[in-house]
Amino acid sequence: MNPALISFGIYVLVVFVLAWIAGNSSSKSKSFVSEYFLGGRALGLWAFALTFATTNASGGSFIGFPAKIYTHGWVLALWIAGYMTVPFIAIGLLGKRLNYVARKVNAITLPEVLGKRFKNESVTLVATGIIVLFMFFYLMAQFKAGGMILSTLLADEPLFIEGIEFISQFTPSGMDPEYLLTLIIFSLVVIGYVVYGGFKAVVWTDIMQGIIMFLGVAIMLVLVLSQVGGLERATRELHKMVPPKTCVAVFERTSDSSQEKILIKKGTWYRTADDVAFVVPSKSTFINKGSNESSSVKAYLYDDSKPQSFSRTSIAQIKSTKGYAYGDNKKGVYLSAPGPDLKKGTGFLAIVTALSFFIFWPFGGTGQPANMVRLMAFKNTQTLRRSIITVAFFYSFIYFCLVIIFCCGKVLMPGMEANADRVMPELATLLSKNAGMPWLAGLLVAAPFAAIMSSVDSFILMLSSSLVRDVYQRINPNASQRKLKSLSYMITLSVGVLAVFAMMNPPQYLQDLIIFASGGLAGCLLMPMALCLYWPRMTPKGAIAGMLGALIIHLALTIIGFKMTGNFEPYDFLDLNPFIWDVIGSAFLIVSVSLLGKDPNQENTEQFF
Amino acid sequence: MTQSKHFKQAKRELFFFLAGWFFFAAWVLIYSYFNAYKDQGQEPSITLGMPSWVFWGIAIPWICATAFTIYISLFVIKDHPFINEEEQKK
Repeated sequence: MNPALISFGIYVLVVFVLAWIAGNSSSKSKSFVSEYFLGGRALGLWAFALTFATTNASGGSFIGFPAKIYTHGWVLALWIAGYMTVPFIAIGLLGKRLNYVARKVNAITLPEVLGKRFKNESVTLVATGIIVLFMFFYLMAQFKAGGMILSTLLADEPLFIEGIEFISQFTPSGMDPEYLLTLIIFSLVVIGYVVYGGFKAVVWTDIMQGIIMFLGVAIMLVLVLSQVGGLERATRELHKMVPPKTCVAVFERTSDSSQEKILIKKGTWYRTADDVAFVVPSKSTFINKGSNESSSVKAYLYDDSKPQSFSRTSIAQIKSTKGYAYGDNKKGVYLSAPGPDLKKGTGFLAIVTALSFFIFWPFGGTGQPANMVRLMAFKNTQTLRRSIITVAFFYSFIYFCLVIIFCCGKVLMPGMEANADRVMPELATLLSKNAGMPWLAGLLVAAPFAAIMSSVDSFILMLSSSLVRDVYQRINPNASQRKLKSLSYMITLSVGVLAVFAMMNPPQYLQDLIIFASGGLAGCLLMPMALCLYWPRMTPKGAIAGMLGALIIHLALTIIGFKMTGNFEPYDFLDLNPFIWDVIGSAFLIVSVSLLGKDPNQENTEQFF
Repeated sequence: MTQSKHFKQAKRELFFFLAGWFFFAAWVLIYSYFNAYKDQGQEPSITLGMPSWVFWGIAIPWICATAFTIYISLFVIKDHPFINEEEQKK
């Protein structure tokens, strides 16, 4: 068996053992709901710091972010720079206040905190509706990313190939059986341990996943720097590189490829007919058996690369060559801002967009419900203070090192623009192979897998806690602990299964889905929660207006963007992220509606301030 | 309405967090605006293996932001007993 798969299997096994221990410990607690959804509000330094850090670092950090670094170069250091302020903003801004009042009013979920501040059921229900809506989109994207990583690990396993053949008999047409199988395996692993173990299982596995992420990045950094010949050499090599061109490649049989069916595989190198350049298709296609017809596909064209291996089964004729909209033939473009861009003539990151991300990372992180729930679970203020420092070191190391790793990775492994989302697992495999330690790939690939799992588990639990606590317990306030326990298991399981069904035929633009969902959650909930904790004059009508106003702005900008581009992309009014407009609109509505209405109930307000 | 000691301290800390964010945002964005958006020319300017604008405009402010985070965590955020802890003490 593949050594990488063995080390990865050991990692999954440890996750299950931790979940089993956590599940047993939650079952013994007197207050099952508080223990299952909030870990009894007793998280210590490492538990709180690492669960917070890993929940925030989702699949995007280890799949989408490396793909962006690879495609656009050093400018990604500026794109991610806002993370330097995330620890003190995302934890410090609301942490102490939120934990203090949640304990005081015995709230377990965010909608409950908002509802108890105003003694108003409508506020709770609007917040619950927003969380359920956006979180479902977010979950969908993470499931797909988990499936992608598994397919890299399992690709050459005979049992996996047999599994694909078996499942293809039951797969409806238009669905990819390989994706379906990896989705099922990933879902069984994650849903299994979340349902049994609850919040404690999520936190304990997050601690382990945090350590795996840290080790994975540290090992990759050492390997990549030694294999590329040092950072300075990598930067100088990167300076010489120019973006590839796009083209339409027409594939034909060579005389030695006889009459078999030929697969033109996405991401594989093919030489051009004149033998001077190489093309990498951005989509897979076939030349059918017995047919002498050619097959056309969009591809990237590299004229000065020397790949280690390339396919000789077919030859490509090149048509309609086109350069990048920004950075075509421009040496040094990977070292400077705004960075090369295929479509935008202004480049990848204009300075206004950089400002937009410097706001989005810390404040968007503050507004994420999964992060805010963790702020309700730490033990005391000493834990909070030390955790801020721990998270600061964790993020500084992970994010800055990822930029270094994948700038070096581009020099070591050029030509992956067509398949940039797979750059992380592919680089991990290459580095381990070059180092003569193939088993290490399992550990390195476990890092992004851990990041995805730690986000999926938190989000599944967040959704089910909203439904159990904010909906069911409101209808049945006297429900027994036993009833709540079975209901919590059942709803957690149902949420996971529903997400799997929704992802069986995934939408095309997953990264856009993540941005839509995380921006929407933070945009709708940041200002209502911040002002609920810091502004005594806020009223329940103001809170509802703020949440619904932000929701409308977010949906409107997404619809306008869709109408303008035909893609699931929001409209960046004045080049600013829609999250910023959500927050501005939400703050304006909360303040104006609250000031126009009556003073809030004095007794409720005094309890919070 | 008299505000609790806890709330007044939280507001003081809030000021530090937001001031810190403004300072680092200004440093990174102003420095990068003047230095990162330049043509790298034939010979790139490199400091410790990375483009010089990344070193002075991102790496150094990131190290300073971490130092600032340590400072506010140790000296600005004050400890305050939470409800359960208070009950335990009673």
